[in-house]
Amino acid sequence: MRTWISRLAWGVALLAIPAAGAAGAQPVDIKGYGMVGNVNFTAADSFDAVLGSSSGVLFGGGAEVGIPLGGLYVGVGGWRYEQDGERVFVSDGQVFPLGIPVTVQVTPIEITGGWRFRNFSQRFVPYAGAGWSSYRYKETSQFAEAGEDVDERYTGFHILAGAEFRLATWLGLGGEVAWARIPDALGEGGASEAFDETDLGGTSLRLKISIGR
Amino acid sequence: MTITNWRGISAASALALACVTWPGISGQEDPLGGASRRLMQEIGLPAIDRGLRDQDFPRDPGQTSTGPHFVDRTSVARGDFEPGSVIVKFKPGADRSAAVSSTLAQVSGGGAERPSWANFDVLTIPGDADADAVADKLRARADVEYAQPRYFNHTMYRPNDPLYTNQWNFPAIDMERAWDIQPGATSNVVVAVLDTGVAFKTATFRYNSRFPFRLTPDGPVYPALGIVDVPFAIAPELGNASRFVAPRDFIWDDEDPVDLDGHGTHVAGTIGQLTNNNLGVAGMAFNVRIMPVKVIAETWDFIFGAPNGGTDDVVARGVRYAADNGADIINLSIGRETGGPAPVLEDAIRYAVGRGVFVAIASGNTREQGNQPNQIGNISPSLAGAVTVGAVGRSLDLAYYSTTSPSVELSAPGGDTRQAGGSSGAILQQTLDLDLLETFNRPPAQFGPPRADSFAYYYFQGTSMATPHVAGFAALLVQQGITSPAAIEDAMKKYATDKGAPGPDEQFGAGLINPRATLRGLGLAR
Repeated sequence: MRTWISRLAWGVALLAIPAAGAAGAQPVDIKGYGMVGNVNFTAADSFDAVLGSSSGVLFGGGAEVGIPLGGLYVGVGGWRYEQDGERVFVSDGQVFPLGIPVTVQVTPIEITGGWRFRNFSQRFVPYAGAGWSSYRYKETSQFAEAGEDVDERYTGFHILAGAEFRLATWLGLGGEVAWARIPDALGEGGASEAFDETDLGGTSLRLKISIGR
Repeated sequence: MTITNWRGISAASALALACVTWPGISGQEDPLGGASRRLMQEIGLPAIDRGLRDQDFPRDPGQTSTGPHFVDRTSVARGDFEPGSVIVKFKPGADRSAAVSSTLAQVSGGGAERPSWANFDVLTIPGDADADAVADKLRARADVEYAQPRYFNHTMYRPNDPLYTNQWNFPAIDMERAWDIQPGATSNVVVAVLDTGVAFKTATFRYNSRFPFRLTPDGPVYPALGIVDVPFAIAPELGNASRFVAPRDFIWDDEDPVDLDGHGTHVAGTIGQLTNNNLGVAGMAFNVRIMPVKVIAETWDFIFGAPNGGTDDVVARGVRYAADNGADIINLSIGRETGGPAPVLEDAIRYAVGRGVFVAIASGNTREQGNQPNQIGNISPSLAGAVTVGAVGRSLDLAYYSTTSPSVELSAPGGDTRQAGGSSGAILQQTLDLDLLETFNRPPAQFGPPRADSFAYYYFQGTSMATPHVAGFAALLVQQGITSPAAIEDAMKKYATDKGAPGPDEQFGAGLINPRATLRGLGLAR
């Protein structure tokens, strides 16, 4: 997956270079970032039933390229959420934990296009964006046999907004909130079917440290 | 009347009739001083195990009454295969080191190892690489004979009981994989067997056989035996005294629900026969404790003059007793197909379910005799937490005797000698040795006191035999964490293997129980 992300980042950067050439005066901004945050899944009942909570910590990173067309930028990023829980039975809304370990990993890749409001302040740059999301969902559990675990990828979209504070020319600290919708990823089985929850997306709050301009 | 024993009621009636009309029976002296029976001593000789009686034709579902724990749970707690490596075998004649080098280059591999006792290599690949895809890529190479992910294996719990091979009924419902998940529950779970009693005690009881009797109106007259001492023993395959909790006899009004028929002991065996003990056969939930509650009188109980028969009120008291004394599950392999509704029983079953007790009820064995359903089972469709159980045979088709009705909610193996397996297509468990117990099946001259301390392995068939599969299954679910009776029923139905017409039907209900899938439950997405 890391290879995929870096290829995408390089692709975005390469795409940006001709645009920079065309614009002439404004330089291309390229930066990489790491992030940590918390995600609250929309399928709250399902996550809560199996994993004990509908939210959890995420770690990730990515790269952004500021295209020299005003505040336009494109970026690619990814993050991972992983949580252990136990399999359950759901009857009439009541959850019965079964003591069978299960591990869920959600690994999204997000390609975002957005706008940085550079004229707001020299060091404080709000931004907003939207884009395409691809979520890899992996679920493994004890006693699973071939075909009983899940490892699938689903696509959807996201929107986000945040602000970055430039600590130094090459160092920034930012925070953002993102909301994603990944329809029809859940609900075909498991607790998500019992709760009739189909969206793998959710809302995440992220703290980002970026290096680059 | 047990559900393997529908004509028992007529036998009992005839017996009672013969007793009542026999001249000169009144005014006999009562050697037991008015007591129904007397416990003489609570010790006895060890039980006799007479082994497998597979030459005996199975007890027919409509035949007249003559009728731990310690499991290696080593399943994996991981995914299907070990990430970061694949198995590959190069073709004979291939230059292994060259092949390894080029293969590693192809899959970004980190190295190869030839383990001991192997004719293959284990290649290290990137931890996040898809091992299936890598194996596919390797298989396409001309110098590779095979390649595969390193799939995890785990134990397939298979009891070592030597007669387990005769128990088709457990593999038929995938119990070996179910036991991998939930190996036999624990002694925290109590299953009440409301039946003809259970061979739960080693003791000698003194009975008084006061009256000559006939088994059928035109049958031969059997003499009164007078005072007889009957030896009882704990069924060797049910364990020791600690296996039993809160025994109660509503037929003899005491706390010694010993079995004088064999039905209850057979049923208890399907629920909780000791398993993996290198002896005999296996049971569904082999670590649970059994609560023997005697609510059915059979031939010997009548011969000995038991004060009560298995009437609705007696059964209802038994149900309430079990619910009030810690039972988690009640097995009712009993019932009646005649007469009207049984509100007293319905009330008792509602009470039990309300106390958190799951109730399994036999559907009846009357499909070829008018198909009258078990009256006790009529309540179950309207009561979440009680289920009525039909029977399938070894071919997993509906058993020829299994009563069909709207009450049938689930199916389980009950045996069918007309399907695959013939006489061994019934359900094998240990019970009382019927040769030494049912002496009333001999000519009157050879009629004598019974022995209830000798045991053998018998094939029985009936919805009586299907029901304890469901009761044992419920015990496993309780242990696994599904503690509400309604949820147990919901889970059993959700995962049942649909049989017959699509969806619930009057033959199989929701379908054949599927313990493995049910015990495994739900992940988040699957």
